[in-house]
Amino acid sequence: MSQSLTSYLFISAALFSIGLFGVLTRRNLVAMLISLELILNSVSISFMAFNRFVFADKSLGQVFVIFIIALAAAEVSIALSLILWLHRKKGSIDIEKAKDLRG
Amino acid sequence: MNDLNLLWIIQLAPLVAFLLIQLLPKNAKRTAPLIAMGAALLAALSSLALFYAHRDGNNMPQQYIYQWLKVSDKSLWPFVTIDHYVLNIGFLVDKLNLLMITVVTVIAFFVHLFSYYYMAEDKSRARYFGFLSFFAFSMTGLVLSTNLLQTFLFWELVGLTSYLLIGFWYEKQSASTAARKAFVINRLADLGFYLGIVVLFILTGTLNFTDLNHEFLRQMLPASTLTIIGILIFMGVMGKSAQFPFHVWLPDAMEGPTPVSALIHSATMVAAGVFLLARAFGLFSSSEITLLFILIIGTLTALVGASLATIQRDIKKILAYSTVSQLGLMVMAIGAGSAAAGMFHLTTHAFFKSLLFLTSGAFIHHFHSNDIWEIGQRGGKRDKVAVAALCLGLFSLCGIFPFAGFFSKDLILEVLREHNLFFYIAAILVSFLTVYYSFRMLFVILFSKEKKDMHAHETALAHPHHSSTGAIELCRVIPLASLAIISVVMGFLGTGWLDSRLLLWLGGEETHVNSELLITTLILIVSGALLAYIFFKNPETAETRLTQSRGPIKTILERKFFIDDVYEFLTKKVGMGIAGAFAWFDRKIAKELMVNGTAYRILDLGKISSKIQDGLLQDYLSWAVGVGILVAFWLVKSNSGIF
Amino acid sequence: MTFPILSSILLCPVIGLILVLFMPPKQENAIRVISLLSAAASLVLSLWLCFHFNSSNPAFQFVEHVEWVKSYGINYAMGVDGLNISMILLTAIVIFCGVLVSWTVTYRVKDFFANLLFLVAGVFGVFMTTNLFFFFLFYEIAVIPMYLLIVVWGSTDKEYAAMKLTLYLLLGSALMFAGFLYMYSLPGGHTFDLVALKQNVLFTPEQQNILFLGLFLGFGVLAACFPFHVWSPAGHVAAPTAASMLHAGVLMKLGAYGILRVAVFLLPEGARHWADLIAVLALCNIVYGAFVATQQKDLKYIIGYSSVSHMGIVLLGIATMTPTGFNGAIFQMFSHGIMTALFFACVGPIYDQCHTRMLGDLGGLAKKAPIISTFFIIAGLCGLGLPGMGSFVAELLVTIAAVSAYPLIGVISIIALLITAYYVLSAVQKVFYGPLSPAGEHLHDIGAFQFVPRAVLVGCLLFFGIFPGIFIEWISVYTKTLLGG
Repeated sequence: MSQSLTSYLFISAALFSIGLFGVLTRRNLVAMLISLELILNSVSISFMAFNRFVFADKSLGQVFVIFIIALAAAEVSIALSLILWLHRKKGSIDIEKAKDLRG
Repeated sequence: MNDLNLLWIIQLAPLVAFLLIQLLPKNAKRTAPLIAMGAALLAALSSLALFYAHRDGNNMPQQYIYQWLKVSDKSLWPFVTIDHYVLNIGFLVDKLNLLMITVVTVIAFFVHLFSYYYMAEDKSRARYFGFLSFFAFSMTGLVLSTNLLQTFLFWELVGLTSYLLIGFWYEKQSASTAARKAFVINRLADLGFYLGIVVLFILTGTLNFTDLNHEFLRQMLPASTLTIIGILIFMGVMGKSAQFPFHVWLPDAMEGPTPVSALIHSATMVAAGVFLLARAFGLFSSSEITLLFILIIGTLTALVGASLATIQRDIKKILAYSTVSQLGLMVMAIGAGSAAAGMFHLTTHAFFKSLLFLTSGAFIHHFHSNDIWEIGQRGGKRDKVAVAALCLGLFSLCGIFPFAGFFSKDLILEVLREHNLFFYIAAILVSFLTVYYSFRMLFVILFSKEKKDMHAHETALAHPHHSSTGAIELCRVIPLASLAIISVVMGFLGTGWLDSRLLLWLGGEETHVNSELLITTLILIVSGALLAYIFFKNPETAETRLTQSRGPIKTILERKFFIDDVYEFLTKKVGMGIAGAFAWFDRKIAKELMVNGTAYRILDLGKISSKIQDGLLQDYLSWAVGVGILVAFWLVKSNSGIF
Repeated sequence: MTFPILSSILLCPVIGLILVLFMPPKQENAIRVISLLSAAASLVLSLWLCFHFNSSNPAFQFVEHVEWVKSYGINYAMGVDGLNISMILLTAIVIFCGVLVSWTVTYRVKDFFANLLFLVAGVFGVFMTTNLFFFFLFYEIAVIPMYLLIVVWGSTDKEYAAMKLTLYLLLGSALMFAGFLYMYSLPGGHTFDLVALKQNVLFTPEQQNILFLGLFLGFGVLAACFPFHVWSPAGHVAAPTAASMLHAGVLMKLGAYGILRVAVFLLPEGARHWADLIAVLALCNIVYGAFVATQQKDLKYIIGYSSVSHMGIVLLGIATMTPTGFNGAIFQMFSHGIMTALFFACVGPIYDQCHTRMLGDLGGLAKKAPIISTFFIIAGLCGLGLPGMGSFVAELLVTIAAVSAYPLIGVISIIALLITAYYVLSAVQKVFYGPLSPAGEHLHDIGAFQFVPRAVLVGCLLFFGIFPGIFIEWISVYTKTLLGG
């Protein structure tokens, strides 16, 4: 396996697509969250890849990844608390049940 | 007192009376009749003064013109080079006018007098006298007018007063319907009049009577155009003078008070059409076809009127149809080329017909019935004054020597005989029928056995008759007597004994005594009277025989030649059919389809669009992602060479 | 600087409005008096204007010009010429009589008169302004209070009618404003000033045609041109009396005014191009309106469709593109405005007391209320073109112009005289003549105070019917120069 930018970007794209697919199709809110994490992680890989292969002397990509990890953690905590509240209200965490705001 | 002042007095005195009557407070309404009579008297005296001042017939025509409306400074029709279109208003004084205005104002005055008697008990007589004055104002304006537009203006106003007076007793459904019918049919006829005026104005730039002479018109316009304009304006005459087939409003107009019938619907307003024919004779005579058309219509009218008069029971209806018939004769005369003969008959007819109507009013008021059988049975023959007046009037109508009608009718017959034998025979037939129905009326009233009808007697007693009040009785007698005298005398003005004064005045020629004609008329009168006598010497049996008889002629006559049915069809089926179709269009297409349809479609569109907003997070996300991909694609494409 | 008479006339209802808004709602009589005084003031000032108007001057007189947003050419510009002097007078007369007639309104008096004055201010503004932006502005000011008046104080079907009327009028104004903006964007434009646009912008023939069509449709909706007329009868019927008087008497004239003032003035070639179509539509108005009126059972619907028919005469006069036709059209705008105001002023009291307007329910009212009956009959006679009143002269001028320009259409339009006579007299007979109906038991006639507004209206009709020369003198210089001739 050659170590080049393209292969890492491939992996990143694949992870991104899997994550996107999961966000758009999973009914379970927690599963959506997991897919969302997948998207975030794919982006992290892509940042690291660019950092390693294009701008080797800088460390911007790694800093960005640290940020992403921290933000993801914060966002997941909020999202999980919202899911908890939704479960209390609706009795389920099926996203099909949460369609009150409709036209 | 110069001419113009007199003219203004004649024109405005009745209008002032009308306005004063409207402004009177409630408790002063009793003076309304006096105000109206005063104005009528003033107008009559002024007319006579004017006539006297011009009695030698010199320095006429005189015009006093005021500009009314500037219409256009450009030509209104291709190839027409006139560039100054102005409408005027004013007074015209010439021989024809003077005669007419004198006739109108004098008869108006007598009718005002008679109305004081006739309407003495009516609660709304202030309104009546107001309208009567307004009529006098309008009629004066019509007679004194200088051009066709002014004539049209007052033509409509006269029609308005006719409407108001026919429907005077508006609580009666039949009266208001008759008034509306009169107005609408006149309007129908006036469509032609209006169009004719507009076309004439556009093509020649003038509507003045002094301009509308033969030579000017022949020079300006081709014959076909003149024919069309002539016939269009004649349509107005057909409406106002109750010519066939626009005659149907006149018999119904008898719903109005009898003095109104006397003034408006026999002597003056209906004569306005004939007057217009004479006034604008230059226009009508500029085309042979127009004159022929006028002659034919006049003949039809005369025949229809006379034949329908023979079966009427209502005294006023008999006189109404008789008026239609006589108007037809006048129109025939003019159609045959002699405006003088037509006007002469108009003058004599005005006097004896108004006399006859006032007489019928006297009968109706006295015996509380319009039906000639009932009048006879309630003792009609005992009212000596009325019977005498009736006889005088009827003899004049039949054309018996030496009454006025004899001279004027003979003149018409003579004119027709020289023109065309066919129409002459038609007129002879009309004269025969005239004698028949006149004597029928006379015999039924005179020969009916008096029934001791206790009911009628009681109502007569309970109704205090005004023969007690001297003034009112005078108001009954004076008009009758005066009109009777004039009816007798007037005729002689057309004969050799008084130098054919009236005739020459009207522009006609001296008359010669035509023995052949005299014999013909004599035979007519005798045979007509004889026929009436045979049928009606015993009115009771005649009545039973009439009600029992059946037959096609009777049906046709009773259905008035089905003309009313034709109008009914045209109005209800055709007119209302079109109206219904338009109303359907308005409801269904304009409202439902266009307006409501658009509104509901937009609402539907909104409903469809709102389905996007389904509340599902993932759908929104999908949309965002999809569009985002497209935008990214487009951005990359436009910024680099890839793709 | 000369006295700003036009702004004063505009200010009268505005000041009245402000005063009314500050009055406590309970002071009903004070509110009425304030409204009456402001209407009377505008009437007096309008009459002053008429006397001091110079008939022989074709340019705008009493001009006022205040720059507002200079870079866009939006200026507060007012001016009077032959066309709008009669309209200003018409508005002043109608509002004066309208306020008097509305004396009997008892529900939310303050709001009613506030809306009425607001409406009139808008209408005055439209007639007086020479800047297209302000034209649009004042037009919108005129439409909105109408909605409120109908929806709160109206009768039959008021919500539907109010909504329909407002949406239709706003549609018209949208088209109109689109046209204005397009003209603004043309080379030489970049201004909303009417005279400047005329002088600076050169319209190509295609632009003239399209623009004129758009503007005509926009204004035509307001003038109840067939087939965009349906808002008008419904609006007439639903509105309260004074609002109907203003609606039929003045608001509908805004449309015809706009056509003349903006469309024909700026785009004569376009006007000539579309004149045939306008003539045909006008004929439809005249004949169709009259026929449909015969089928109506509600008195106000009859008047509504009669208005559609009479506006057809205005449009026909405009379509002839001749000074005679324009004279007739403007004269008809004026006399129809007064006549229809009189109609509604007569129907109002009848409806208020008999609680019905249906021909079948009414009858014999002349016995109980002779004064109202007389006024209504006078209005009816004016409607059917009786000589002696303004309508006759107007119709005569239009007919002459129409027969000369479009002979067939002119001839057919004369039929309206007959149909109008038929439905007017039928309505009069059913409502006023005959035996008294139960609905009319409690009818009592109007008194001396209410006599005044109706008498004023009749007086105007008679005055201009007998002396039409005065009116024509005002407008003839304008109509002669309108087409650049």
